[in-house]
Amino acid sequence: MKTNPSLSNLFYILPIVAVILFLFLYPLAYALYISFTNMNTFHFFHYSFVGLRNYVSLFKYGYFWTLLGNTALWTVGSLLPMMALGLALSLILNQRDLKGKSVFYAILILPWAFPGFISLLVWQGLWVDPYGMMNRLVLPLLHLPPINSLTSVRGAWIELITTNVWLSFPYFMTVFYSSLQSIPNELYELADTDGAGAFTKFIRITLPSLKGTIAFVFITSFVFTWNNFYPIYLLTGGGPGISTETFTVYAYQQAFSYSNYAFSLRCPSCQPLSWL
Amino acid sequence: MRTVNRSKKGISRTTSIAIVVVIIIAVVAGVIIATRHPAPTTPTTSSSTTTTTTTSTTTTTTTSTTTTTSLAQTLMSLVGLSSPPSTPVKITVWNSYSTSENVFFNKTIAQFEQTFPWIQPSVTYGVGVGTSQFETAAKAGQAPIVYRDSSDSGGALFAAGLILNLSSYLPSSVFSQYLPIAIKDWTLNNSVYGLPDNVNYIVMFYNKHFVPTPPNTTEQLVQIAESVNSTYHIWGISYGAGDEYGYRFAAWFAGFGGQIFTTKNGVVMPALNTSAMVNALNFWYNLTYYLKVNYLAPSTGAGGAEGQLFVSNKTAIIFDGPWDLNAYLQALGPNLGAAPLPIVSSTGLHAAPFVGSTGWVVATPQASGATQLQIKAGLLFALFMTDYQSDFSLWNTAHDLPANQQAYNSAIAQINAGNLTPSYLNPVMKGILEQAQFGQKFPNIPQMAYYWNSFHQYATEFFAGKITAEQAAQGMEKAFVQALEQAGFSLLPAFALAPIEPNYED
Repeated sequence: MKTNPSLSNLFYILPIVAVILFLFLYPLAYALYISFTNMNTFHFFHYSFVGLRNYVSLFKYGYFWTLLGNTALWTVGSLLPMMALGLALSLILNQRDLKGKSVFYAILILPWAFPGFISLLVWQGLWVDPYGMMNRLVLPLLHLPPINSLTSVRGAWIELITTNVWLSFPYFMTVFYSSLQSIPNELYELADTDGAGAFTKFIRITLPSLKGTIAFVFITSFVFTWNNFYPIYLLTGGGPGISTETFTVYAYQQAFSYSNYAFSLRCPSCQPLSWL
Repeated sequence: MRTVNRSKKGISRTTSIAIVVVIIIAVVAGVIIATRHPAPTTPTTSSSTTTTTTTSTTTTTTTSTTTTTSLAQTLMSLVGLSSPPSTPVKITVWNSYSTSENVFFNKTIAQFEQTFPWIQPSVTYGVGVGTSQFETAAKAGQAPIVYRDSSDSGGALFAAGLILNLSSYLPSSVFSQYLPIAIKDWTLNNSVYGLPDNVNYIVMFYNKHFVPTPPNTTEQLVQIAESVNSTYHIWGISYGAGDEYGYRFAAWFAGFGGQIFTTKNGVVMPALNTSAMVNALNFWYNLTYYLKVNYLAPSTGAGGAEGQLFVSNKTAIIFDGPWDLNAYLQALGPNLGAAPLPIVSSTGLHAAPFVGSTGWVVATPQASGATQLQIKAGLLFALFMTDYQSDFSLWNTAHDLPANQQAYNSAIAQINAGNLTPSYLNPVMKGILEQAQFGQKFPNIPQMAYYWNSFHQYATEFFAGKITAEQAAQGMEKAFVQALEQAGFSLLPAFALAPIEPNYED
């Protein structure tokens, strides 16, 4: 009997299908299912289907909009300065006549050299008002008022976003820098011949050439930052109140502070909805 | 052109040097830290086979063996065993003791293995108290057979049917061996679900250099804090009320006349939206923002900002538990003082901290997959770890306040005789034990699990100046009710909050 070669070829992708099924689709489907039940500490082994009750309460108590607002502020508020700083630094590093470029580059990627968790613990200490270095040294030097995440919501956001920018800008800088190096020099030389200024060259050559990179970096970083958990959890814990609480932090607290597993899982399930 | 070529290399020479320098610095820093704070040798699993008990004479060996046999027989009879089984029984143990407490634990588990050679405990060290880790393991049917937890989170596990009702397994005479407050902490619906090994609560620690006599009332507290502040230019008090989850604040709430739950027409209800809460919040707000004598510390405990300021003589008074006593003793020596929290002047009531307890619980077969024999072995383990000898040893080693009545009495006798070393520890421990007279029972009903975040959310907003104390009190009660509703607690018009019946299967 002759077997269909295209059918037999399908067997070769079975391992990856199995991996996807068990490591991705099954947990996803299970999480979605649990979000429609009343599973928590008190309905631990014997839980039942409760329909949309968990989702309704998320809207009923007004958490959804607060969390959506916070998550959007966290994501966009972090992403824009991170990308701007990354691009600016990569442009500086890309200057042909810059001396000690490698040294600068090595220094600038230092935030990457340390584990993020440890860096966050250090930042937590730096922000302590009035004893941390930020409040005792850096901010007074810049003639800026002290920042205290316990006593001010604005302060909490500044603390979070500044720390996140510090943690993340090396990634943006590196990606943009490598992309800048791939732009042919001839384009700039021709522009010089035509008498184009630095700004024109940036708008007409650099930015269009980086378009693809910017789109890629923006989309992937948007998703990453949206779901990024530990800076908020470690620095402000979502406070004051729930002023800096995002979907992910809220989901974590529901699961591991309240043991409301079903409730916790409705948040990740709601996230694609919130993107729409 | 050279520049372009160089930049196209994977890593330049300078970058490589910089990376190597960073790694060297990290390694050197690691070595320095490791040298300054030698890591305790706590294995992840152990059956303590390395600890050996040697006896110098035959007589001692005989006595020791006789005592061990007698203790083994007594405990086995309590769990309904007349003789050891013919095959070894393995039990899994989750140990949540701190480093200093583990000195006691390692010694005691060796004694346990000597007493019950047929039980083979497999211990996981460094597990935190609380429900989440246990629940995760229980979901897979792999919870430890024995676990050391706090009485409040143990209450939630019991209500969830994950730990055993010990009243069904042990005679009631066993429970009378413990302090009444400790056994109450472990009782829900007239069922005892754990055996306590200590009682714990917060007290007022003060630095005698700045505060020769501790304040008895809040008026005196304010006066002392102001005086310390103006004389020594340090903080009078460090209390991070702005980042509280309500464990320590419950003491002040009680002092202002409040209680977390109240009973109306036989129904238990949350009672946070009261003038007591408003007054307690405003009291600390005034001390922090108007009198500026309290430092709103971002972290608590000996390792947090509060403790660090206290040990470095930058604050005169903090509120912490005896679990951090060693750190304060080491730093302040004879200057360390401990006393009960003061009386709230406006009400005449003592600020009454939660008197909680930690102890040993035994998982249900559904949660751990344990056999009946393993459960009996687990019960023997819990009994052994909380008997007089062990509890007194825990007190002597780590200064945990004993929950065993006899051990507690011995500890009191030691303090009264001034036998603790160093000698200045005696008045400190006396002050700590005095606080027990003015504590409140730590609520262990499962609804309590929903108090913490409700309080935290609105207390932090209040201390951040977003809302008034009245709005905070209203908000935290509303959030508490909502959290209970979401968890599926019975919410009839009268908002019934009677503790639900545990659905344990034993």
